[in-house]
Amino acid sequence: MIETHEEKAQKPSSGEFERDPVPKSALLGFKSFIGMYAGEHCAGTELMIGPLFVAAGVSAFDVVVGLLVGNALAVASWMLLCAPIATKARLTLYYQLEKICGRHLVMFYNLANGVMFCFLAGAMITVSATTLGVWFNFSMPELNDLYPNSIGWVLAVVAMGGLIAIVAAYGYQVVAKFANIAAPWMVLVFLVFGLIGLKQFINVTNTEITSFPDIWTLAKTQIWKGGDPLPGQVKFTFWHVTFFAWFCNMAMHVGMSDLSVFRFAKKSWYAVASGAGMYVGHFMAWLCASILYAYQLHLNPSDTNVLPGPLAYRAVGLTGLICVIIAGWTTANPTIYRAGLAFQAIVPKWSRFTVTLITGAIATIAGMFPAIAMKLLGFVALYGMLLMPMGAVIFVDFWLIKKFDLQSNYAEISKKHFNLAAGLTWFITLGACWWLVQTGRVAIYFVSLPGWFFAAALYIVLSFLYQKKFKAN
Amino acid sequence: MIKQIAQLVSWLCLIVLVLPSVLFLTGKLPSLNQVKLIMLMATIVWFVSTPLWMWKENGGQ
Repeated sequence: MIETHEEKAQKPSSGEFERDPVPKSALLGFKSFIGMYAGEHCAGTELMIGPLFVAAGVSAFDVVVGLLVGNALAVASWMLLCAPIATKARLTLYYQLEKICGRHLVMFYNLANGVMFCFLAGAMITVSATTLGVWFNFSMPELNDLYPNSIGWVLAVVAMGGLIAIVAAYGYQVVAKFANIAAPWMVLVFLVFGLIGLKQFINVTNTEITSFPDIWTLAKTQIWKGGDPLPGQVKFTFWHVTFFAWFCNMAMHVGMSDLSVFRFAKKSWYAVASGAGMYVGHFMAWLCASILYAYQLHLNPSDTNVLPGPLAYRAVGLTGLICVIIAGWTTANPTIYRAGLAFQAIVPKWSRFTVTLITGAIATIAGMFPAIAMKLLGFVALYGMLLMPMGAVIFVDFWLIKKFDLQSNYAEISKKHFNLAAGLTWFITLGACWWLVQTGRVAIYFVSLPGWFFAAALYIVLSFLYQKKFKAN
Repeated sequence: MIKQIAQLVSWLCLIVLVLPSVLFLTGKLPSLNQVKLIMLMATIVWFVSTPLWMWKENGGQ
């Protein structure tokens, strides 16, 4: 049920409250949102992100406290930025954007969103494909690989990605229901990864544990030791971890994608339910997965490969492999579906089936390139950055623009298909952020914070110029 | 009645899924292979029993 609501929420052409505010009779209770967030944020990619933190040389304090703080900031962003607008306007993101930006600019947004969803689904397929390496023993990608490195790997991704794409095209709903059934089991298997990994560390280091401080000492000295990152990786500090945890779902909260979800919430504080996803998926699951990788490095420091399949198999055997396959599959499925919806909004004459298959094929090709999965920390930060300016535009348009004697929902009022002020805000902000990152002035993990304020201010200035010209005409 | 029994079995499965790893951590279950085997059995039973009650709750036919 939860996925069905989310599907409706994400669906630009569902026909259900697509262009109308959600009525009171269709509002959902708090529990619906807890289940949805807890399930959705315990994905196959969590098994990549946790290990990549270890590869980035995080210390125990930085990773534990950084994740606590960063996830709290993410929940606050949902509660303070996204949900209040969602519960007041009760419109889909797409319709809200269309009223502000115009239909043509929304097409650009859909294209950007669809492409990023494809790459994200590609990373999930990569994760699932690593399980086949356990059985068929082909050469799998290494930590710094950018391109596919064996025929076996390509075939594994084609097999896994093809299957996921076909199932998504034929039976999205069935997989969505299956995902709900698997979610509680999957969360607990992630927990078991951590418990087993911890015990393996205790055994291999001959540590005697009698109290919590003993565990913390083990964590500091053996698991998350800090120090230099592995070759080719960026060093992660407390601030990196905090900002990564805060911004890894930036497209959803600051970027306002979840307007479509929280329009069904009775109260805006229901967004606190996102904490279930953050602290289960982006705290517990990341830490547990990182323990498995730290153990692998402890046994053989030269074995730096981040391969969720073998990692999970070594820890809990066949159950671990099943978990990796299901975690990748059940999250790649809605991601491919959403990418398909975004693309279908651009080419509405194509059938859902065709678009989903093509989207799945693109995601499968992306999944062959380990660069996306192995550089997932940077990719996720890029994803947030890409959609962040439109979140700032929506925020300003909803709360602030009338205070400057300017018109909100300008595209709708002026009957324009492309609000130049919003479009320029998006492109100039992205250009400025990209320049800051490329010139080494600000790392990609942090750039979206100043970027948001820049976009908000720029939208007001450009609207002032643009709307004045329109009024004069 | 079948739904209630299936629900009970499902929740027991989740307990059985985690309990061996807790016992392994505390040293009361020394063999990791035993943990893996019990987890696999709990997994199989979970995916048999849970659809019996959760599938319909999710709007399945």
